[in-house]
Amino acid sequence: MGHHIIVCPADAALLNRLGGRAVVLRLTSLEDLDRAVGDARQAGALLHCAAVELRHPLGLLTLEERWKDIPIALAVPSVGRLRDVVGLMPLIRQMNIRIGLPADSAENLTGLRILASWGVACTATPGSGPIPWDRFSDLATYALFGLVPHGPVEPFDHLAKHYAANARTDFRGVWFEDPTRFVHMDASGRFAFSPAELAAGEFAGLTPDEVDRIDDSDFYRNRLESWRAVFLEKDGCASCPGWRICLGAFQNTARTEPRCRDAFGGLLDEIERHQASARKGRRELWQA
Amino acid sequence: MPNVLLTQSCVRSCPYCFAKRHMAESSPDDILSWENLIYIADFLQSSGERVFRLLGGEPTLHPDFNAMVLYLLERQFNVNVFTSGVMSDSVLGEMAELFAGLPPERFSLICNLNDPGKTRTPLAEQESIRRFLRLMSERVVPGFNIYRVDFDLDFLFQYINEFGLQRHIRVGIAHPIVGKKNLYIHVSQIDAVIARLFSYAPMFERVRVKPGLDCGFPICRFSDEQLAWLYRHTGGKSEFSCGPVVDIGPDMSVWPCFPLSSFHKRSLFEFNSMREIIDYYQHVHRSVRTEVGGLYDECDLCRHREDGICLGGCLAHSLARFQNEAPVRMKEIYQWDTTSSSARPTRPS
Repeated sequence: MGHHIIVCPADAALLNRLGGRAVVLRLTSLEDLDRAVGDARQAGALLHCAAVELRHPLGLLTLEERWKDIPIALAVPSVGRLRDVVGLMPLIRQMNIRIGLPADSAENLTGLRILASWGVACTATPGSGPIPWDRFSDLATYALFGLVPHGPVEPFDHLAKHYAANARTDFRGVWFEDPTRFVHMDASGRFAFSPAELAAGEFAGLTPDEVDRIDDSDFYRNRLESWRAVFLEKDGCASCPGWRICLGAFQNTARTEPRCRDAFGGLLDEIERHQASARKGRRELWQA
Repeated sequence: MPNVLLTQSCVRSCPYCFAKRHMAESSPDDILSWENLIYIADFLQSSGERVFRLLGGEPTLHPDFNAMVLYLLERQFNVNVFTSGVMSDSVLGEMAELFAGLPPERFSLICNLNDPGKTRTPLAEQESIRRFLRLMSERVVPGFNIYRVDFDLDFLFQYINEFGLQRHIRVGIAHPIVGKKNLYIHVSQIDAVIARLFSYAPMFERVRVKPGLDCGFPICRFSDEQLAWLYRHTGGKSEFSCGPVVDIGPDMSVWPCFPLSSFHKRSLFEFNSMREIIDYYQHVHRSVRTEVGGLYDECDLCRHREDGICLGGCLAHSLARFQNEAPVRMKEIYQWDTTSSSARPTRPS
């Protein structure tokens, strides 16, 4: 089978076509979780995680102990009341869960820091509004240079682990949007490389079997090279110092809100500093 | 263990304190942000501290007070709050609800109480304090700051019995806030204060309440009999030390203690651990004490001071004295932050 993980609706009929493949199940309700996981198992699909996107704050959710071994990416719009979240913490700590909050509000960026300081794995997700970049940079500093161990904060943890000076690092995998790893499927069985491309009808024209041989696909190969289009323009992302870790993820808003440049330029410096600090004093053992 | 100020605003105007600003006058900068609270928690955790002390002003004025306490408890800190007991019904109600099931050592309060007979206290404030004491009861240690020689402690014993407070009174002596104007006990009045305090020894015994002395009492002003009584009734826990306690302000500035809040003010971000901060201020204190040993001439040659048992009373008295002299002493003595909002401390790059 191929190496791509298929992000798909939790539909039994769809899943039956995906046996033997790794899947991320998209859900909009926790009540469907048991059934969806059961369907995936029945179909012989390999569960990478259940991506549950909800409309309620974290504090208002009811979590069940029987879900603790299910890998879950939980996206909520806000933390809600801290007193409610504290009540969930004993179970959250047992669960295999990452909690995502939209990064377009200062309160959510604070919420991510609170959760991470409690040891919870978190993800800053795209929101509908502009990102408060100063606060975003502050969160990055905390994620990389916190004084005590804390839960990982994405995308910073991913960038710190995978950044290489002579390569591009695509952090959008933490949002399941790295085309080298994830492909998105709609209810009709059509494929694209992100939810936005799926919604816009930019289909890859692949079948599940062709996804297994995706490296042969011209559409896929062109998609991997699509970043070059940014450099057809002189300004904007083309001249951004943070390009190697952003890859134009915010190019749609960069013209009107260019502070992403400072944020990612600074983040790149911090990542390099973080990696240098991790390498310091580490002895490289000889290879036999 | 350090004190963390959630806000510099207060609802009271205690004569021994300079934090006289009321809520209406405080600026948004005057409250501790969540990011800074988390940084301080990380800093204290990495320094091995497990008790988080919250102060103000009046800490319950912080809009996220209860949430911050919840946060710290979830971080496995024990939380100790210094409060006036004057707070809104909603804050008090939520506090009582949220922390009802916790053991007192996890969440406790020291309530600084003023004698309603001697300190003008509006009726609404008195009622707020009584509501607080009634609801928080066994979590509360009453505290009292002596700022006049003719003080009375009777009301505290009454409160302890009426509201079931901890059977312990934290007794502090008001020191000069150097550079500010406040009522405090002058050096010449210390003997009278100690005599009056020990006139309450029978009451402490009868009501089975333990006294706890705050810092700055000089050991030489106690008779052997008084020291023996203290030893018996505090389990030997009396200390005659003088700081540094270390206060951390909402803007992340640090200073050695409340009376010295403008003295050698630095930024928390300049230090890597609590040990570094304490070492820094101990070094500053030692430098000052080479100029003058303590409150009395005898302090210079005192063996208790040499042995580290007593540090010669509160440093603030000595520093207050220097302020009125010509500046002929070592330069460290004159490093005061004379503006209330001087250059903001910044995180080191």
